[in-house]
Amino acid sequence: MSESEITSQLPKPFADLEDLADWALPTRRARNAKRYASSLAEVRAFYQRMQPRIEAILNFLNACPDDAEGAPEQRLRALALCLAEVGPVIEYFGAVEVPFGFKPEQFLALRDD
Amino acid sequence: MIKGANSWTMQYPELDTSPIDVDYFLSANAYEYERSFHYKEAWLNVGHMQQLSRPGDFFCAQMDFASASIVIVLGRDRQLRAFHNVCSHRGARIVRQESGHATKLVCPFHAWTYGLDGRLQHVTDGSQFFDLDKATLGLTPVAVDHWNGLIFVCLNPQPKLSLVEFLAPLQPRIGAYPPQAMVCRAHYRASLKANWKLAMSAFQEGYHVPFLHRNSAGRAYAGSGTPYIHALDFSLLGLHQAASFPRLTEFQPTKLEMVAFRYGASVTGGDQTPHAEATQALNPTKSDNWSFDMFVIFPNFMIFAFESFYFTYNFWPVSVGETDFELKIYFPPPTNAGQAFSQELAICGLRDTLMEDGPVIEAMQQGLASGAKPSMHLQDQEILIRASRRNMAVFPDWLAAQGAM
Repeated sequence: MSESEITSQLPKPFADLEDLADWALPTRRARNAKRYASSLAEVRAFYQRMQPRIEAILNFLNACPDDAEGAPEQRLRALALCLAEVGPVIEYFGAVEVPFGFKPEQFLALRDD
Repeated sequence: MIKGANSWTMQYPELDTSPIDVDYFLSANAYEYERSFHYKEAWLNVGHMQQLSRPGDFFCAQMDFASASIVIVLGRDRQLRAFHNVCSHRGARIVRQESGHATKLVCPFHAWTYGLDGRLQHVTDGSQFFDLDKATLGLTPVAVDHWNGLIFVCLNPQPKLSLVEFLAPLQPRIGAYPPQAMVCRAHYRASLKANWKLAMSAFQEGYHVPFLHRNSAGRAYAGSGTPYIHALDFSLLGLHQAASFPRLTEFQPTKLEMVAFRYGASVTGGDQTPHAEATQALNPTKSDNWSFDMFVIFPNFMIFAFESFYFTYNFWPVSVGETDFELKIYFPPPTNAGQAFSQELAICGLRDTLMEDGPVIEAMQQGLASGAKPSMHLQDQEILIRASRRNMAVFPDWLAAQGAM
C-alpha cells in the first residue's frame, strides 16, 4: 500500500465519508481557514453528512486506545473537530461569517491546537 | 421604575443612579492619568503559571500604554521573575519571541548576555568599554507574583500593596478558583478601535446577551418565558466585582451541543459536575439554575467561572481609543475524542459569540465620539459599569488608605 493511499483513508466504518477528506485538517487555524474559504452550501453539505455520524465517530475514537491511533483515526478526529468549527455556521448563524461580526482576521488564534 | 429594595445599585448610595457622562470613555486627559497612575499602581494579570512549567520557560507581555515589553521567566531556582525586556547597553529589545525556553537571555543587537535571574553575565568585546560595572547593569526588575495560578505584574517597582493585599477583598468570594487542573486550550487576540473601559463595559452586563447574542450563546440565557437576564447576585468587593448568572431552564440545545454536552461543558450548557474544592465559593446564592460567576479584577481583567471550565478577558489599552483584547479559554486536558470535540465546539461557539460584540463596541466608540449623545443611561443590571467608573475615580484615595493601614 502506498503512503498516499494510507493518508487518504478513514477507519473502515467511516469509509463513506472519504470524499470529505478536504475537511480533515489537523489545526484550528486550518479548519477556520477552510470554513471561510467555503460557501454556505459547501459548509451545509459537510454538516449534513457529518452531523448524523458524529456520535458514532466519537464513540469509535473513544474506544480506540491512544497507542493504536494511526493516521486514519487522526484524520477522523480532525474531521470531527472541523464539524465543531462549522457548527456555529449552521446552528447559530446560517452564514459562514458571523453576521455583522468581526472578520476572521480580526480575531486571531494565538494557539493552533 | 425600579425601587430601592429591589435595586442592586441603590444599595450603594455612592454609585447614584443618574446618567453617566460619555467623556468618561473619551477623555484623553483621563486616559493619560489612567495609564500613568492606575496601570502603574495596580497589579495586572499577564498570564498563568502553566506557561512556565520548567526553569528557563519565559513569555512576554506587551504593554503599549506604558511603551513596555515585560519578560516573565522561571529561573533555575524555580523563582518567578519579571524584567523590562530592555538591554542595559542601548535599550534594545532582548526577547523577540512571545514565549519560549532559554538558558540565558541574549540581546540580538550586540549579544549582551543575561542570566535568567537578570544578571548581566557577558559583554561582547568588553575591553573596548569604559568603566563598565557589570554588577549594576542587570535587567530592570518588575514586581511579579502569582495568585491561584495566575501571574500578575506591577509596573511600580515598589508596589504600594502586595498582590495578596491587592486581591484580598475578592478572596472570600472567589476562593481557590480557578482549578489548577484546567489548562489553556484556546487563546485569541483582537484589536478593538475603542477605549479600554468602553470595551470592557460591553462584557460587564448580561443585559445585551438576549439581543446581540440571540442566535449564539444568548439562547442559553433567555427565551420566551424569560426574556431578560437578571443576575442572581452582584457583589462589589473593594475595587473588584463579582456577579452570578442563571441559565435558562427550558433551553433547547442544538444537535451538536447535545452531543458535546455529554462530554463536557460550554457557555450554553453541559456537564456541571462539581470540579473540586476550587469551585466551592462559586454560585453564592446556591441557585439550582446557576450557570457561572463573573469576576472583574481591577482594572482590566475578567474571569468567567463555570463549574468545569473557565475563560478570561484581558483589556490592554493601546491608546485612548484603541484596546487589545485577549481571550483565553481553559478546560481540563481532553482525555478522549469526545472531550476534544466538546471543547472545540465550546471554543468555536464562544469565539463566534464574541465576534458579534466587536463591531458593536467599535461603532459605540464612534457614536460617542461623534458627540451625538452627552451621556449614557445605565439600568440596574449594568451596576458593574457604574461601579467600575467609581473605582477608577477612587483608586488613588483607596490605595493611599490601604497603604496607611
